Amino acid sequence: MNALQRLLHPENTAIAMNVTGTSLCAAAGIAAAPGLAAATGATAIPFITAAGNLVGLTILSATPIGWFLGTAAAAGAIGYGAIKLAECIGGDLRESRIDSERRNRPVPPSENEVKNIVHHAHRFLGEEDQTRLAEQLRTGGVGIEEARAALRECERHA
Amino acid sequence: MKFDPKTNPLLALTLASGDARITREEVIDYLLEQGIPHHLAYRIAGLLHVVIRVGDATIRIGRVILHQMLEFLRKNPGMAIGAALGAVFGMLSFSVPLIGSFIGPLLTAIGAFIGAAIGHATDRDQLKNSFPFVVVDAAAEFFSWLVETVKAITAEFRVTAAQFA
Repeated sequence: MNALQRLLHPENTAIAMNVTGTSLCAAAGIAAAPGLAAATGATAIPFITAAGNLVGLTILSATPIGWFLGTAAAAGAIGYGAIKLAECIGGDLRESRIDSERRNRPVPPSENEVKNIVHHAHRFLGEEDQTRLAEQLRTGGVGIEEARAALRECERHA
Repeated sequence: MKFDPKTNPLLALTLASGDARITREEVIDYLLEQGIPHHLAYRIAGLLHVVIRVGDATIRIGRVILHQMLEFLRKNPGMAIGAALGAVFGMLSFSVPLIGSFIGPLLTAIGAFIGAAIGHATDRDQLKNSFPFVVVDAAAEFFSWLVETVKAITAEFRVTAAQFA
């Protein structure tokens, strides 16, 4: 499997889409910063100007009291973004693993399929083993295709 | 494990592989608990991937062997584990057609361990119930159904052995 095929694999596509979602979550957290800063009356944070620019804070005015409050608010908002980021990543990985397990889980056979196979197998099985086969088909010990292939071989050599 | 004589040997082995619901981790954990060296435990667990192909059908023979091996070891706790493993794999490699090529290399690795295990047991006077011949006889009796079943299949069907990744 080459790199492109791996990238296009449904599971990887799902992860890529979830990563996009994660970025949006982080952006949402960071976007809350200016609002929170404005709500506390502080919009100038000189010592985190670079960081403020990075996260999109608008520097409007400078008041000493506002700096402290603003710093706390911005830190809170960034912290909120970080928490959302962690939650999103955790959730993404969890969901992706569950999806993968769901995809790989064999579909349980219908009762008709089980009866059909046991009916065809009765010539080659003792009575107790017929019951065992039915039980194993139901519980996944023996797969439907596995049983069919074995039966085909038995019939071929009968 | 006994099978109804009316049951076709191929289906008997399919049912046995369905019964053998063991995982690689289970095999490794058990062997490590018994004091088997890591490299040996991992190599033995590799047998889980050995299959025989009977026409279109695939039989997970390695899974059956490992399941039976664990049963044998659990039912004979007094045996020195090295001697028991040696007896099981030695007997299987000589008696079960096709899979000897997969088991043979294991014997080399187990050989050194058997020597150490028996030597250690002799030192501690624990060899009363695990004299090698007794162990081999016990293993031969325990695995007789498997040997007979695989022999019947190879006589009746066209069989190849393989190892899937």
